[in-house]
Amino acid sequence: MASSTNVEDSAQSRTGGASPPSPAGLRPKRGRRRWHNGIGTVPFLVYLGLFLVIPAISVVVTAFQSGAGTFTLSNFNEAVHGVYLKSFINSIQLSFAAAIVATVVGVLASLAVCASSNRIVRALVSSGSAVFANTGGVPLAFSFIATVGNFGVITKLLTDAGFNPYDHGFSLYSVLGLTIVYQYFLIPLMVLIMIPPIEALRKEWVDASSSLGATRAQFWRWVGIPLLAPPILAAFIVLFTDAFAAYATAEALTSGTIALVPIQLGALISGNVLAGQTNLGDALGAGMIAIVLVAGFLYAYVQRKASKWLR
Amino acid sequence: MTQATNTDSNSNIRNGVKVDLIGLSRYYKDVAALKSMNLSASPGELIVLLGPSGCGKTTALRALAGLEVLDGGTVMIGSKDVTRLPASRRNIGMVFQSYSLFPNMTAKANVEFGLKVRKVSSSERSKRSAELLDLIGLSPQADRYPHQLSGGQQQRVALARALAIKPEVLLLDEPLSALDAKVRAQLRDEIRRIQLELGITTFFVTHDQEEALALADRIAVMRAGEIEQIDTPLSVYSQPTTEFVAEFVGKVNRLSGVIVSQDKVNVESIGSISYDSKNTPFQTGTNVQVLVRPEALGIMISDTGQWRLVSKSFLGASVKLNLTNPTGQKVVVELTTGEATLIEQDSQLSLFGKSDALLVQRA
Repeated sequence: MASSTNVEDSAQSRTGGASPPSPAGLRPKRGRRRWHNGIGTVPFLVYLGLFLVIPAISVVVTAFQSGAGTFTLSNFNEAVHGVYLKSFINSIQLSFAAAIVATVVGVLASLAVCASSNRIVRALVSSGSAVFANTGGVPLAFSFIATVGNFGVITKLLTDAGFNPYDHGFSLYSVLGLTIVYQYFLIPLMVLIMIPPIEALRKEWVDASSSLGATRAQFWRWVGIPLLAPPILAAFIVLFTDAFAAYATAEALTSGTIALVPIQLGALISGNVLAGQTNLGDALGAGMIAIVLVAGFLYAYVQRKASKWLR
Repeated sequence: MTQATNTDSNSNIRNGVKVDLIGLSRYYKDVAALKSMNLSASPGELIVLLGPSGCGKTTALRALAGLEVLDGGTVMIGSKDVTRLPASRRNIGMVFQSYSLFPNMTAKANVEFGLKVRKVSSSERSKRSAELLDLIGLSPQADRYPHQLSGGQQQRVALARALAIKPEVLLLDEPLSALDAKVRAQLRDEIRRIQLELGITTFFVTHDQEEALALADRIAVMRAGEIEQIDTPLSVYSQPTTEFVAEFVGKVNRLSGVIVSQDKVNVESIGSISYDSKNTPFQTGTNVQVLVRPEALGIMISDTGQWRLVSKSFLGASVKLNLTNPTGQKVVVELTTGEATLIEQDSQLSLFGKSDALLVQRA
């Protein structure tokens, strides 16, 4: 008995207190184990390759080709001029504004939900958010047209009350209108993303800061906000890309009257405007891919920082 | 604040204050977490609140820290009534169970947090944090973030952070429970060393009786929101006033017996054991229940012995032996490792009382 204890002690001292190494015969073979672990991801990787990587490469390659198949930069040249440049600017402005508003409202809503001790409220908000975050397209556009459109119910009520918002510069069929409509799915998405990091803020941190003399405001200034900043930034990036890529809602609501990249792209691909301009469409697509890639890398960087702190 | 900025060479040394908890009550709906609890700590004393989960020990500590709203009672620190003061104005240092370091700050920044809140200058903060990191032996790790520190190192930093504000009282809420045994023992000794060095009045919450016995000046054993017994570790262990304390602090054998004289009880299958009759005098012939520590029993190998060895557990310096007899009675005896080697699996054994029974009560 005594000797076995000694053996254990010496093993621990050799490994710096870590558990002693397993006998050679029982040691897992690392290479084989890794190979086995990875096999489950093969279908997903095949799917990604077929429907994301290959199409993306194809888009980028054809963006550099003329209609005759020769190398050219003219597609990109055209994509950054005129209506196409305007569509990039509009899309970025719209996505940025929509994501900012949704981030602010979503964070406040998430804080309120997390502060609630009512489990039913929390469950309702979580499941409701999951549904609303995935709602969009024609039904969403129609519901807004029916309520705050030119002849919508709320517009009618306001007009009857002597205030027609359309006489005061508001239009549902504008960038501002789209920003408002996008909130319908962006705010719930923000709530869904932010509840886990807010819940990861430990009560011990609040208690520790109180016992060290900090007020609640000081806790938020030095601990709460710095801890939530990376997840908020990461969520903002997700919201930005979500709004940037939204097509159906914008198309249904504005019928292409506002130049946005996805709408221009859709028009070029379907040949609605001019036939034979799919290569220009690919250049626009490549531009979108570049913006989403930048956002993706930023997201990964910020998320890595957040995961170190809040786990 | 004046105290916090004073960083002369003896700045860590201070005299502790007296702490009085008077009639503390706390109810969660109809359940009493604290039932009019009274407790006084002398200046510089280390009191361990010991008890099972849900006994109210953490509630009492949090009430003292100002993190728990009380339904009744008064908290006095020194001569000051702090019952209505918020936690941020009580000048109490607190170390939590685990994960309480701010993850976005380095060890140094964590230690300096309380001073930053008090608007202490940057140079003073650096000086103080350097002193404290040195005190806990973590100067080389000053610039590491909590996730880069081991559990034991994190708790040391949490201790330094609590001490940085020069608190009048130090509270430790199961600070060692998330650590492995070896680190736990090391840090336990270190906490005691630092506490004695600083002379700070300290309350330590634990459910680990070994930790309580090793650390405390006095142990308050709690049960269902009340203090069952408060005394020195030796007294709590050797003279428990209730069955609960006897069973919670240390191991006991519960045996049947009959009082045979003023200070002797005859225990079934064992024989005569002495007991302290001062507090619990019984008439001769009274049937009683006798609580005896495993180390208070001795073993003899004899041909007439009725006890047999069931199993042995090696505990290092001692060995725990589980014995049984033909009537199915079971006892646990603890012997030194040397003595225990003589006991074989098929030995016929007799038991006898080596020292006083712990507690004798009417059956």
